[in-house]
Formats: sequence, C-alpha cells, structure tokens
Amino acid sequence: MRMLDYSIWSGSIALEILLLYRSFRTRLRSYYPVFFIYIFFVLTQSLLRLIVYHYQSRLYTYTYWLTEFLGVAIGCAVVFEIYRVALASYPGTARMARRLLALVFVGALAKAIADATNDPRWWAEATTIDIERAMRTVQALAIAALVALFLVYSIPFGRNLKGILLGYGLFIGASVMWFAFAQSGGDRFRYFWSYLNPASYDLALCLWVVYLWSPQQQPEALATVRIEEQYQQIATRTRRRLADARGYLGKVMDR
Amino acid sequence: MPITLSIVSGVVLTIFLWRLWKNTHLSEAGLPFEAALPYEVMAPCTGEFVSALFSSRDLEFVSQFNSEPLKELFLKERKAVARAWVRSTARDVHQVMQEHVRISRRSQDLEIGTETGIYARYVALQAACGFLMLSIGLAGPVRLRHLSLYVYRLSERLDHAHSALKAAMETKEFQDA
Repeated sequence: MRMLDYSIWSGSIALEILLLYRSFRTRLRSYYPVFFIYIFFVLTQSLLRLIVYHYQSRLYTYTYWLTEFLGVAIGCAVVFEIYRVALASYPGTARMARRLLALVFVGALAKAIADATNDPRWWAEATTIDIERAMRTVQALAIAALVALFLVYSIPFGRNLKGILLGYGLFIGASVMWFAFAQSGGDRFRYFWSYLNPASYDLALCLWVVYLWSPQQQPEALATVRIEEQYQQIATRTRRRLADARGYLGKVMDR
Repeated sequence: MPITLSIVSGVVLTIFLWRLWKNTHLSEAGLPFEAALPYEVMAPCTGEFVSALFSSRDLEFVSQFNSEPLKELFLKERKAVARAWVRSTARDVHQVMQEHVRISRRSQDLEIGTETGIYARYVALQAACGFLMLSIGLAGPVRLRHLSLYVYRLSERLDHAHSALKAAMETKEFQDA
C-alpha cells in the first residue's frame, strides 16, 4: 500500500475512532443514533475489508460491494435522521419534506422500472458501479431537496446537525461525481479521483469531529413554538398580497 | 440512470450546501427570508411625492436653464431616488414572504402545491422589480410616471396587508399566551 493511500485510510480510521469516542463522552450518540451507527459501520467495514483482503482475497470483491450497499442503505437512514431532527419543531415543513422525499424516491423507482421494462437486459448488464451511482444520485437529490427546503423555510440549525448535514452532503456529492466519471473518465482522471474521493471522506470526518466535538441543542424545541395559524388562512392572505403585487407590476410592464 | 443527472445532482447539492454553509456562517439565524441585515424602516412615501418624483415637470424646469451639466446631474439624482424607491418596494415584497415563511413553516396543514405557487409568485415579483430597476436605468424615471404610480399603489397595498398580517399574528399570540 502506498504511503498516501495508507495515510488517507489510517487517517479516516483514526478520525472515526475519535468521533465515536467523543459521541460516548458527550452523549451525542443518543441524539443522533443512526449517524453514529453509520460511523461505526464504516469503521468496521474498513477493518473487515482489510482482513478479507489479506486472508481471503478471492472474497474481497463480494465483501466490498456487499458492505458498500449496506453503507448506502444506512446512509439513507442518516438522511432520514437529519430530516427528523431538523424538522421536529416544524410539522408543516416536515410534511412538505416527506412529500418531496417521496417524490424523489418514487421518481427514481419509476425511472428504474421504466429502464428495466424497456430493456430487460439492463439488470444483467448494469455494473455494480452503475447501481451504486444510481443509489448515490438518489441520495444526493434527496439531500439537495431537503437542504433547499431548509433554506426556503429558514429552518434554524444547531451546530451538531449542521455539521452532520454538511459533512454527509459533501461526501455524497464527491461520491456521485466519482461514480459519474469512474467509467467514462480516462486513466489519469481515475488516478486523481482514487485519491480525491477517499480524501473527501476524510474531510467530511474532520468536519464531523469539529462540529460534533461538543453537544449543542437544536435552536427551537417543540415546546417553544407559539404561533399556530391555520395554513389555508396564511396561504390565502399571502397569495392575495402577492397577486396584488403581480397585478400592479404586470400592468406597469405592459406600458 | 443517465450520467448527466448524476453530475447535475452532484453540482446542485454542492451549491445548496455552499449556500447553507455561507448563510449559517454569516448569521446563525440569517437564512434567505430571515432579515440577515438590519432592516432599515423607511417612512412611506406619499402619492404626491411619487408622482412628483417621476413627473417631467422638474425636468422641464431644469431644462429652462439650458445647462447640460445641471440637467445631467438632475437626471442622475432622480435615477438614484427612483431606484431606491423600487428597492424599497422589492424589500416590502420580500418581507411579505418572510412573514409567510415564518408562520407557515409551523402550520400542521402545509400544502406543497400552494407553497410552490406562492414561492413562484414571489420569484416572479422579485424579477419584475429587477426589470423595473433596469427600465429606470435605461429609460430614466421621467418616462416611467405611470409605472411608478402603479408601483406606489402596490407598495401601499402591501404595507396595509403586512400590517393586517402582523395584527393577526399578534392577536393569535395573545390568545395563545
């Protein structure tokens, strides 16, 4: 194993152990259980792959892809945890997020079914990279939809949750790019990305260590919510005001 | 799944995360509709003032002196005032949306279709204000008198509506307390 490979690999192991240690010290593991299960999974996955590589190298490919897909599945649960914690005080926005996420997942499923129906050989011909790229893309879209919603509705973030979201988003974004160019990119690209992709995970781990070093509560707990108006009332009022504005500006532009 | 979609999703995600990081670093609560910078409340302009601001009478008066530098200075100043006024109108529309977001995000029965429609209208209005700013820059405020009066009426209505919404919110808070 070359020096740089080894540094990236051992760096991620060290950061994961540090993160898990801090999660026990700060009790953050009880606030974000799925996230820390994910970190624990990635740590054991790395060690398992190393052991298999050294002692049962013929099983390495199977172990690699099996653990990789398990990682994607737990990653989806991390996205769900981000949604659950961030929107705990905002039932309306949570409802919207559920619909948006359902739209993304149903859209992806429909696309997959359509592809498989149009070309029955698709499943047989699709490589593991193709399948993981598709899954990572769906994850990226789901996170992007969530972040857009958080931005539009000005959802306040605690430091810890912000760190989880930024780190995981960064890792997913880099993975999607890696899988997109893995087959079409040239050898030099693959060489470059073979370092950059794991390094992006190390960067995400650094972010997590910094943001999750000490616990910080979400800015608004459910108990503090005071205003609760009927949505239809609010929406009608806002729509009327915006329609008035549009009417005037429209007339202005006609002239 | 097409590779283009993967690339686009990666890029979009990166942009959104960058926005999130930037917003939360500039101000912990400062997000798109939250007033990140202190909102300077300007006294509302009267209809007469707006009418005079965009009328050609002042330009005709200045033109009588047959001084090009004076005329240029006058037009420059008028453009600046007109732009400030449109900016303030855009800020009013922004505030309507800000209030809406602040209240609606906690509603139990938020509807995706209605919300999307409202957001689309908000974007269209902000674009319209941008267009007005451009028109003032190109044609000058003097030729936009009718336009300005419409915008004035709009801002007045928005102001009334904003006050009504605020009052409704305060009543609700009072009832809940």
